[in-house]
Amino acid sequence: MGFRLKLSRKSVLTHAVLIFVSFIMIFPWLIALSTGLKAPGESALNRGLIPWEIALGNFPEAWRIANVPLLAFNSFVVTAASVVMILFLASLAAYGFARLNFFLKEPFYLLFLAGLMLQAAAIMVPLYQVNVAFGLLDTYYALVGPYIALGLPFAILILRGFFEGLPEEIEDAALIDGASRFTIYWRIMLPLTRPALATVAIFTGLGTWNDFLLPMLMTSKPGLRTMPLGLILFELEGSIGFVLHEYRFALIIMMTLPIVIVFLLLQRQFMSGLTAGAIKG
Amino acid sequence: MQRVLRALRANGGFFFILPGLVVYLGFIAWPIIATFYNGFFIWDGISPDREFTGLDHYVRLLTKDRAFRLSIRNNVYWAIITVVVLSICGFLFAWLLNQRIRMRNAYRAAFFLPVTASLVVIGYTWEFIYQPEVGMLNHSLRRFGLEELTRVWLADPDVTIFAIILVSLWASLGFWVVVFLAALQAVPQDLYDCAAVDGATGFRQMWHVAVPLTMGTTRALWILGLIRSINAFALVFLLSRGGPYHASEVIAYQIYDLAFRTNHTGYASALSILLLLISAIVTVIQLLLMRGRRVQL
Repeated sequence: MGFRLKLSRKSVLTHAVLIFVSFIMIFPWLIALSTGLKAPGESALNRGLIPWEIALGNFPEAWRIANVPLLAFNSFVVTAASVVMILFLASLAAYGFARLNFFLKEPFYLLFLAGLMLQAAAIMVPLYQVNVAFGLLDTYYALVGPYIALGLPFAILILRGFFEGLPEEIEDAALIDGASRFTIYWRIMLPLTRPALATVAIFTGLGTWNDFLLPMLMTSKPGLRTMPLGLILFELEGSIGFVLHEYRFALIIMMTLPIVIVFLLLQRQFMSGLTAGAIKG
Repeated sequence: MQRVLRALRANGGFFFILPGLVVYLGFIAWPIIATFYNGFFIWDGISPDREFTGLDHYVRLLTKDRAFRLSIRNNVYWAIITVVVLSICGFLFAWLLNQRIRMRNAYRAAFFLPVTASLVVIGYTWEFIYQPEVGMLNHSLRRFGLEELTRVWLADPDVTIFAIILVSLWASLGFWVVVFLAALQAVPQDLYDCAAVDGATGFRQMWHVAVPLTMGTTRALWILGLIRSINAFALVFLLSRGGPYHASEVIAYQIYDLAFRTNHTGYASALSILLLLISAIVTVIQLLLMRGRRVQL
């Protein structure tokens, strides 16, 4: 009975440290939440965390000003297209690297791996110029193309490792029956790779959904705005030339809450995926 | 039988990598080569005529450009602070979480939440906290009688870059903690037990067992942390736009400013190539240091 409540001095100290640090980690979110719930203009007067009154009217107002359905739709299209294409192209290539032989195989693999050190911020000039050259500016392709190219290295690294961990004997029966390599990849190997595909999908999807740099550089039409870009440009959208903090944080809450909920639901998958990625990477 | 199987297994797989390779070369490799070429020209990014200037851009960057020197300094601060603080704090908090304690998942979620959020959200939230008049930070300092510590956090040349780096630490701590935690969970309990038999307690178990056995993960995190620090952009853009007077500029922000706000595309191209070179050199040095040093279980 008393066993559960017994706390050694060491574990009291552990909890004290963890609670203190968790508080620092949580506090900015509390500020965002409380500001989003304050009445318009209140945050300049009321600096405390507790709103004088809960102003739920901020949410429809921010929803309308920012045109959230459009932003969500664009973010969804760009993210879904990028993730699906990354999964397909990377698993195809990873299968080739894992199971087949061809001229200059390892040099090609290294070429892909070199992409692990590329961040969009470092190559924004090349990415912009290539979109100019292909005439893709102000289209979804101007975002999806670079996202796929930037996502491939990590995906190929993870998936090659996963394919190599599967026993080769699985494929032998199909090979003897005369199945083509592509059929084997598509029908037999890809379904077995689901956990690794989920890892890749979560990470590339999250990165794509949250990115604002490429949408900011590659699109200028309001119809193509994604969620993060919508938040950046939100400033300019209010009727008086700027929007109030309370509206902005209402939008921030609407943007962040769905991801937080998904994260809390998928926490286990998230963490194990991260672990696989980080340790192999 | 074996020979038939081997022959079937060995057929050419180039067509499997071809589609990915085309996208990769088209959107990354070729444009980088084109950017390398553009770096030798004075060019505004739009007009068809441009002037060849050879290595002038690189010479100017390395010898004359004050903003570039500030950028390098800020990126070095960023990299050192990130790697040192997050290695130590990330490992310690992971060590604490790795003990059998209650509410472990809740703590872990609290650490990890910022990793799932967009940097735009994080940037605006912290900008609000840092505001000189209404911001929570100065407000709290005043309330605790620490008036002299208040600053104009995002417009003070001595402070701004560190205020931004602090946000970056807050945003990435969770990632380091979770990865360290996974590495710690892979260390077999017997090794701690052995150490305990030899009389090693708490801290010494950590230092002599856990730290060496997770070194592979630590080094991978160092590479990642360095690459991200060298390429930092979003938070500078969101919090200070490199100001005041370039004081909080980083290399990637300078590239953005040159290429997309002042149309010095040629110069920005040269700077991009330099940034890629720095990333490549750091990665190669790290990989060479890692080679053969990993402790195997």
